[in-house]
Amino acid sequence: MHQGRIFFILFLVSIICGSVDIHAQELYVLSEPASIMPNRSIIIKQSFQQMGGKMNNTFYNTQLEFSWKKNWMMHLGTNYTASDIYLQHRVYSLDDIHTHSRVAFFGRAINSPYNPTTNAIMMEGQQKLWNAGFIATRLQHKWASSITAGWLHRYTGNTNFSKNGIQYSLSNGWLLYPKNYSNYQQTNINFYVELIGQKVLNDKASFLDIAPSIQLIFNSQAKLNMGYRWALSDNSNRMSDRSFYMSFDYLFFNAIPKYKNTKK
Amino acid sequence: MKIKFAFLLAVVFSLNTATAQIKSAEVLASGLTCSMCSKAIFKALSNLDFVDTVKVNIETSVYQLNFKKDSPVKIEGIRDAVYDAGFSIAKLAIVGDWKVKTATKDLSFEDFGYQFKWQTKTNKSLSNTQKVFIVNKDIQPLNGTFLLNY
Repeated sequence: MHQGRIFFILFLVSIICGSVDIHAQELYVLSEPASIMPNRSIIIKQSFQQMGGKMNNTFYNTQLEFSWKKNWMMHLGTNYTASDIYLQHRVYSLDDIHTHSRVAFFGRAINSPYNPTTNAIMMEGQQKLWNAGFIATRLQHKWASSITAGWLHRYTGNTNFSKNGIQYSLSNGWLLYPKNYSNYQQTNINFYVELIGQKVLNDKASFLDIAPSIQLIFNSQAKLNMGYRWALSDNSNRMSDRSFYMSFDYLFFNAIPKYKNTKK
Repeated sequence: MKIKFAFLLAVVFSLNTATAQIKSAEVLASGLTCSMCSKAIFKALSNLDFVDTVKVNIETSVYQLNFKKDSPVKIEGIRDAVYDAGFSIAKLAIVGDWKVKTATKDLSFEDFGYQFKWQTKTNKSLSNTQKVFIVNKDIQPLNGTFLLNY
């Protein structure tokens, strides 16, 4: 299904991979890397998502992200109907010059007033669910790749939909511009390709989406993300199997005051 | 007279401690390629109360720190700033006005309020601009001691 598209994307990716003097980036648009945001910093993020397919819902999501310890971070978000909380803990970190390997665990809970309406477990607040798993990220000078795998459990209310599923994703990112960093004011342009899949258990439903995105980073502090996500394969009877998304976030460094450590 | 002498001694002593401090440091950070990551380290280092200026080479991830005069430099503070930003220190070099001007193999000594030990193979006299590397892994002191090499 859509094989021509898959090959086109792979072709595009291989061209970009093959070009010289580009750096890897892991500030993924749709998934989190295993890295934790800087300690005591805060990110405020506003996203817009226009779903397409049988239903054309629009979501506006406002999110607050923060880290209070170097290995922990939390996201609190709302789309003004549903709300979500996300917690991530980094458990492994190996750094070298321009290289790192990291592993983190995460947990997420989404609170929603709705019962599910499709086999697929939608993550935009269409139902109440929790989700937990791990992320492994490898950053090398020109290549940043991250895999996520997790368990999904939803509340099905009075419906007969399957309760459990597994989710997985593979994200890759590259810096397109600048070729060489000279200062923090330079605008960065990053390109990402993410594959996002799901398999609902006790059910034949599954989907695999591809999501290429472009990211602009301003002043090494603000990000503007834009992308389009569509199904490479899908038998989950989703109401929306494609979406255009856009988000803007701003990072406030050292925003949370340091507490006095009396042990030192 | 005695009081005057004691006062003079105190002044001389306080002058001595004020000048005898770590003057600058160079941090080579590891684990990052993005400018946002680099800025996180830059901001964390700039935010340290004893740091006067930070100069950075984003490409090489080298941060050059100059310290405020009369403000004691905390090596753990530099370390924690980088690790709290989510990254590591590959190399940390300090330049200071050392009390003992010779790096002597296996010599343990106290300076700048820290316990140090030379890990050098040969002895060397130190100039005022000599970069001295703290070689402990992740800049974690070993039994309260920072190990040094030049």
